[in-house]
Amino acid sequence: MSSAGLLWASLCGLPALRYWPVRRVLMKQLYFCGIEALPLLLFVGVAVGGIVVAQLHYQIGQSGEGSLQLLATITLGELAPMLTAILLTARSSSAMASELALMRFHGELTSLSRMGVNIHLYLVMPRVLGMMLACGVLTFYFAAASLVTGAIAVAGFGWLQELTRLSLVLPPATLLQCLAKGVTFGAAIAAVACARGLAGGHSGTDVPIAASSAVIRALLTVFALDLVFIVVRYYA
Amino acid sequence: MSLLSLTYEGGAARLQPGGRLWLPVSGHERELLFDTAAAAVAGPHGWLPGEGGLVANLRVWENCLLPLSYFGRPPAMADEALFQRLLDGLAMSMPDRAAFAASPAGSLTPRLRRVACGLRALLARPALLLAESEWFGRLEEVDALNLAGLFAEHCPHSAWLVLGSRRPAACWGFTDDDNREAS
Repeated sequence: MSSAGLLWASLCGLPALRYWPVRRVLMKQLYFCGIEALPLLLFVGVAVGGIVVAQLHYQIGQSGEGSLQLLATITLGELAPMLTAILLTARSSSAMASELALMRFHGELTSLSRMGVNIHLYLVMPRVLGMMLACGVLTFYFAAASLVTGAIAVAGFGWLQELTRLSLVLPPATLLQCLAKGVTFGAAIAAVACARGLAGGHSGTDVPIAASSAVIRALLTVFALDLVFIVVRYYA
Repeated sequence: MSLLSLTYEGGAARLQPGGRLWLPVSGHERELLFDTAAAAVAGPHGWLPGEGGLVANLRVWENCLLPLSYFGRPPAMADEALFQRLLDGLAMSMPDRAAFAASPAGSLTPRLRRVACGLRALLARPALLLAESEWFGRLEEVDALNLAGLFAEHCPHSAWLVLGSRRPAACWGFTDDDNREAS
């Protein structure tokens, strides 16, 4: 099945969350893609906030308030969803694809089918949903870490006032777009990873091929989707 | 009323609830027949493969409860008690059973993996048990006798479809007349 087909099947299969084993896979996925990835995302978010503000404030000479506004626009509009998606792709999509390819290689998918367990509902849907939720939430945390760092860099101890002022001038559409991008990118990354993992052959060499192919295709998909977001926002 | 009807060598092979059917098929034909049988009867099914068969990144108790909880309710204390009773039936000592239940399936020895597949099928109490004949052949004698007794006690109404080169032993309820009655 193609990535788009898997994504659609996953969305249609949401009622399967009533099954305990499916919820258990979802929880494991949230832990792996969300909680375990949080320190990495926060570190990169802090670094990005510091770097962007340093460039704008100290190199270009932008005012502190202006630098922070620009940082917020860039981070919420592009950097947070894109960098979160790229980091999650590098970290989780290869793991997801190789796990499924290994399961296929060892005949575990056949075993599940023989027991009457639906592979798409048990393995794919919780992974797609888990990655969607994790990517959406991590995008928010990334942006928050970046903005707090930027505010500290330009205002020192007055960072809270700077952030409060920033929240008054930021349009809600920017926040919504950030969230929408995070969720969409997460869904795309997981769907591509699952499709590549399930499409592998029955040879051991298919496992690394599935992993690398999942990373490349997920990155291409994320960039293409970002372009679609820009076209829809500015030209539609 | 027949539970399952399969086309085999141009004829129809029928399986009644609680019945036994062994067909000497292998390779692609066996895979097709298993797939057909699994699709024809609503799950959960018992699955007893000659090799593997467990989800490697789940622990043994998670594997054993998977078909039961996927098709029914979340695991409850009654299921844990049943799991313990089944392990009693296998004469497994307390330290051994604790280590066995908590082991990741990928770390089990082939012998314990086959036993775990049997326990998983027993816990699901399926209407249909699908088995490769190699599963019976590779079981140790003591495990075979214990598991056969447990299946007779806990799954008396399950129908057995066994595909492979060797007929399962008589302790599993397979006799020479089974296939004649089933066809």
